[in-house]
Amino acid sequence: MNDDQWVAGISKKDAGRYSRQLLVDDFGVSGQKNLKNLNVLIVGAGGLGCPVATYLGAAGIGTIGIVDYDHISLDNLHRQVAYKEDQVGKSKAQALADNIKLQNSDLNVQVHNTSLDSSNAMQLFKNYEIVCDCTDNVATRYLINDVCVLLNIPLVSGSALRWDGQLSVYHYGSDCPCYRCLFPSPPDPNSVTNCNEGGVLGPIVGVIGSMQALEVMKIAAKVRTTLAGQLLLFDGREGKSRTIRLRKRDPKCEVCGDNPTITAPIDYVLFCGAGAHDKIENLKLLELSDRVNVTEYRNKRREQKPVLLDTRPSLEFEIAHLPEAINVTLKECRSLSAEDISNRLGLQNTEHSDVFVICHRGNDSQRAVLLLREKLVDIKFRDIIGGYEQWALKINDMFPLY
Amino acid sequence: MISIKVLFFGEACQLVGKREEAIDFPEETDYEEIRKTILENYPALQKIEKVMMLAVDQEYANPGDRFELVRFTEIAVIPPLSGG
Repeated sequence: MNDDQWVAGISKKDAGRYSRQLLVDDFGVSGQKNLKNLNVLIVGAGGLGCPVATYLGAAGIGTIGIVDYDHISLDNLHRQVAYKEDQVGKSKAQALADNIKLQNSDLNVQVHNTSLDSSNAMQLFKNYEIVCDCTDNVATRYLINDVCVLLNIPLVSGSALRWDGQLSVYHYGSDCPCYRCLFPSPPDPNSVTNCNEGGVLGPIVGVIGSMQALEVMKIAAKVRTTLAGQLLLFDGREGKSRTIRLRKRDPKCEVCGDNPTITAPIDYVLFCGAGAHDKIENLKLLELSDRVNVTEYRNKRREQKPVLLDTRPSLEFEIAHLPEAINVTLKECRSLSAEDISNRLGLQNTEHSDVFVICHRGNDSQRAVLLLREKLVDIKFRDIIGGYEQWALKINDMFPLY
Repeated sequence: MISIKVLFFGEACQLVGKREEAIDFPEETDYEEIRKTILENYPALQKIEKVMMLAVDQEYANPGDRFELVRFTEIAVIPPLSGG
């Protein structure tokens, strides 16, 4: 026979590059070929989006779309490990696309440098076969879920906070529930903690994002044992994970049920009562006469040492505080008696009738003033507008921002 | 009554201040009674009541489900996480 002929399942270039995953049983050549023909959309180029895009790019996905409106900030880098210091300030979607193209030049990457909303999601999703939810807020999670159901696209959904992560595959197979089957009504906006407030450790989003990439590869390779219909709970503190078997698709579900009432994207900000981002909201709970700005507070403390109550959790108090600050957390303002609070502030034997209240950004300090003036009626409590963040921006730029 | 381990995940753990605790339930019970007992024992969880998923022995509990609790049954309180 002629020695310049052969039968190839895959090109020489791809066989060389992807050999170690071609050798894995149940993935193999067919898995690789399916991967190469797949269009995957990653919504959110943050802590989850970085590992998802990095692993899927390295594995040789055909097309990766990346949606994000945000820019890289310095406090992203501890967990958004695809970004370099010199990319701070750049578009996340573009920077992530650039970085994964450097790793694998065969990739086709589509950058969607835009804020996903009801007006653009259908148009954006329709060219993709799998969507990864790597976002950071409830409103966008419902939007992504509904659009995936409407367009019949499987959704690989990850989330993380503090030490915990969650992962599931929604709307993949006729019995598989969607996010709305599990959570038909959204959480109260004030019960939702985001990574800006609660914090998150880098390896937690790393674990969950890596597992999201793995689920995409399993769907591509038609491996049956995906997390469809199951919820993986990862507890990083204990080093444990549990898999909960979820309910079946709810026939009464408003979007994937037998008689759906949601047949087009709705107003998700209205539905959730919260914005489609994880940025901090600025509350206005107090009259201006019950508030001082940082300049007014600086002038007061130059005259005389004031009493300053700091409502932040002790972890944040440890990062930095003004020397006169006394740490009584918001939770303690709620639970302690008037006498205990008075003792903590050293008010018993003094003539102080003014107490200033400070927190990180000026929301909890207002909540605390509302609680405290009910308990200690003779004291005038005023909050410091914008908290330590404003102090750092306007008075002392050496004060650590976080 | 039987003492059953209840696990608190994510925000539930933050609100209760514990990752797990044993509480008493009737041996024969249902979804509604388990939910009510948990909310009575931990009123702080009312804040996440609308999105509080319950799992009994790692299986999602539906309204109307009946359960016979035994010594090693594990109940989990699971609200969704939304960060990322």
